[in-house]
Amino acid sequence: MKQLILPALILTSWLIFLSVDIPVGGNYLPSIGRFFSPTQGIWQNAKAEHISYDFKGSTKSEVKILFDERDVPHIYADNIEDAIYAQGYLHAANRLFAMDISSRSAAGRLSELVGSRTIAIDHQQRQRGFERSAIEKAKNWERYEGNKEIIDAYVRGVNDYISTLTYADWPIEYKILSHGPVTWTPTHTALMATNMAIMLCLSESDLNYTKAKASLTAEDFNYLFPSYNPLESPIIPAGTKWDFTTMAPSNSINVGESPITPTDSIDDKNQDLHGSNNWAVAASKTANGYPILANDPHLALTLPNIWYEMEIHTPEISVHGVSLPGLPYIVIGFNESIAWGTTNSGQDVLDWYNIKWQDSSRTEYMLDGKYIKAEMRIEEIKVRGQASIVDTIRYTHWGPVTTIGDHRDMAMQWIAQKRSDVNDLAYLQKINAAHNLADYREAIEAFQYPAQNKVFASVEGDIAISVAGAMPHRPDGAGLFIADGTDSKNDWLGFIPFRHAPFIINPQRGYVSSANQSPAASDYPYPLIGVRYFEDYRGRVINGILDTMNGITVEDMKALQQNNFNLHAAELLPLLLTGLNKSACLTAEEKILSAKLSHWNYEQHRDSLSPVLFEMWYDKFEDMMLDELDTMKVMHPEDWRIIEMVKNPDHKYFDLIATADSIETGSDIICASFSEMAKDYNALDPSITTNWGTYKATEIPHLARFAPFGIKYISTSGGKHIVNAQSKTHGPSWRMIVELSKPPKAYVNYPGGQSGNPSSPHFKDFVDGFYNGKYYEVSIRKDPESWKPVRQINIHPNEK
Amino acid sequence: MKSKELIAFFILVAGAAVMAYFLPWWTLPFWIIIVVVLMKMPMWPAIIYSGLAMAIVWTGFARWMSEKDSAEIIEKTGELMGGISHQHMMHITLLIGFITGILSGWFGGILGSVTRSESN
Repeated sequence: MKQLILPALILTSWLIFLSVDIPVGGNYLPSIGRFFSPTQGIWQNAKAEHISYDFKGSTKSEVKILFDERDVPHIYADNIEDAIYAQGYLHAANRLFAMDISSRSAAGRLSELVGSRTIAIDHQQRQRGFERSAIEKAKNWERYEGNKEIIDAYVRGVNDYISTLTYADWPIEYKILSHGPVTWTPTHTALMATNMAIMLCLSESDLNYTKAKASLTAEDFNYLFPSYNPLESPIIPAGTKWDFTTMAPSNSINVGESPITPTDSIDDKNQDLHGSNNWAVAASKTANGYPILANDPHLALTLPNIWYEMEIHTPEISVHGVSLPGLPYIVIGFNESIAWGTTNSGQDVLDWYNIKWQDSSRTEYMLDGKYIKAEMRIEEIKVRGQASIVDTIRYTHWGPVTTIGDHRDMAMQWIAQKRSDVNDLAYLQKINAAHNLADYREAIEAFQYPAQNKVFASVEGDIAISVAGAMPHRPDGAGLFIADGTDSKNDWLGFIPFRHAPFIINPQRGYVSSANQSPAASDYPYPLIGVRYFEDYRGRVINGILDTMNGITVEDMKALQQNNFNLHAAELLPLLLTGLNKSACLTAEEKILSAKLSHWNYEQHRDSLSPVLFEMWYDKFEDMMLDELDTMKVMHPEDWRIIEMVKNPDHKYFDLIATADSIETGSDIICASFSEMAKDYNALDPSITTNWGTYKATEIPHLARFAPFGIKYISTSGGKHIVNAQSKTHGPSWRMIVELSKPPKAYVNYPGGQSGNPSSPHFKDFVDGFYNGKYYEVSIRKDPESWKPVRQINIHPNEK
Repeated sequence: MKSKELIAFFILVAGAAVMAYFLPWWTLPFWIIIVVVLMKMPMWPAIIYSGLAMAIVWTGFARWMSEKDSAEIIEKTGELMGGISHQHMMHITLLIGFITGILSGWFGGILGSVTRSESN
């Protein structure tokens, strides 16, 4: 028997070695036995998965899912619960890992999956209480009639799919992480809504404004950061009559002692957000006599794409568009009567309050002259492969106390935390089923956050746009700076009532539009504060073109969505070139580059070199001109303001602080920055300087940053301030144009594919066409017998 | 190869293939041990044929999956794991199967000889 000990030990050790996840740096090598097993591991992910089948599901009646040639599912169900069940099933089948990782990201639970690398992210999310507000939201949804059935059906659909999975069927990302999917709950669905809010309305500049105010004179601050851009072309045209008075007189804010000093370093967290567009043109302006609606929401691009296209049919609704995996219903789309779309409003719905604690225990804080106990909540961050991290999160009157940079005593008041008790799911229910303008307005009223510009058009000929979502009504002067958290007078006064929120129906000019600019001009009765990520160049281009167009066709709308005219360059470059020519400061080699720029038509086309030269020059110019602000670590003003400054060549900001013995003028900076740009340009690798597409080098990373599963390089046109606002990693995530004929016809595409499986032929099959201007024609296929599907899934009701 | 060993080898391969298809990967060593013991395979043939059987079954399945349309996923997964080529992913699969087979055959061979000597 002793002879057995050694081989038994070695065999057992080998099998254990094959069965355990091995930590390697911050990552895990998955248990290699099952990972390399050809019948269960990664080799199984090479299987084609797009097949027809039947299964028994927890539905009330039969559901048919027919897939078209693009693998877009068309759900045919006898009732909405069964349709939503099928939607949950399809979302899980095609986006399970994306849903999981997105909900984990919002909840602060990434480290449970990937280990210590994401502790900082999780810690921040827990501090901000996103999971807590999602739990509240999920509970509150169920209080409203009809919601529970819908959410339960959706969750059942997701979980019924998950329950069919063995290790061999796991999405490859799970195999790589050696961690399976978790049971889906209504809280996960609420987290997906929170995640969208995090993406769209968590940005703000309170810290940057506070830092700028602490560092600059009042005169300089007001000059550099005016509250309104007079060149703007707001969503609701200037001059619109507002026939109401504000709901309450405004208090003045008590700013208190600034927690930010001139020596504090604040990162300007300006993200790479370039914006979204939507518009609708009236029948009177179109060639076919039907209204046309267009929408291209811009988001960070990932594979799989954030959207999942589908069509849903029940006896009550027939609707086509994109859904957000994790959430029921269609988010952007059209039905037989209406079409709707959305852009981010960019309204500042997040404020910070400086908390004064009684002592270092940080258990009681000052409010209105009294110390109040903070609610203490213990958060356990589970970390794969190591001990959990426990933190105490303090909740105040304002919201959770959060660490921002070096500042750990800031309480955060955010719209998604304040409005978790309302029935915002009703918005999706109502807009999917809307028949007309009245239904659209009723749906909009239910929408809460993030504040968005909801465009509308109907087969009845109406067009409209509404700034939807809860917008804080603040005391005068509040919202821009960190406020004193000891005074409840600094609190929001409530929310701008729905009937007072900016909207316009069938305007005289024959179109409505939005491109993230200001909702209304400065004569709007409520103070509106926009985050400073979106300037109005796109809005001005869109409105300028729509103003002059008549006999509009779908092809015109496609061209407008892909318009590459750089208005910012058109307004700035002539000023810079004039300065350059007057100075006669260029070398022969530099003159060649300036000649190229002077012949540019301002089209930011991927094959053009001029955008490379312009963007490089502008970066150098801006940094040289605003060296004072960089030295103080103060954010830069918006680009339109810089153009205003350039118009005055003797502006004090042109003087370089590094040259104390001389005073530079605008011409000096223009010449010096061009020369610097030329040096940098000539030093670049020639392979990336041939044109804008190679220089910008757009990429679409995998959602979990598994680089080989993403697209590392795509040559794209467009850029910042351009209608086709395509940056390196951010851009149009869905393009839709709907002609509101009877029935409506739509033209759609998105940079991704229907499958979330990197090995599927439908993972990224739309990408090349998308960046070459391709749209797919889509119409509602109401009769399942009238067309031949590529494949089909039949769900039979489970008899138990 | 003696005919009995040849039969044992075919049983190992066929059984391993069926089990690999329907059962978790870690059940294969048990199959090999049972076959080696029941077929009374001598030590060295047990080791070699078990290793070969596992290598053939795992590589065979992996090769079959590689013929699928979406096999580039293996290449990409290899890239993610530090630049391992598709071919090397295949080699790793072969090696894991082969070593598992050898060790299972070794244990089975010794277990067989021990049980036979005890019964004698």
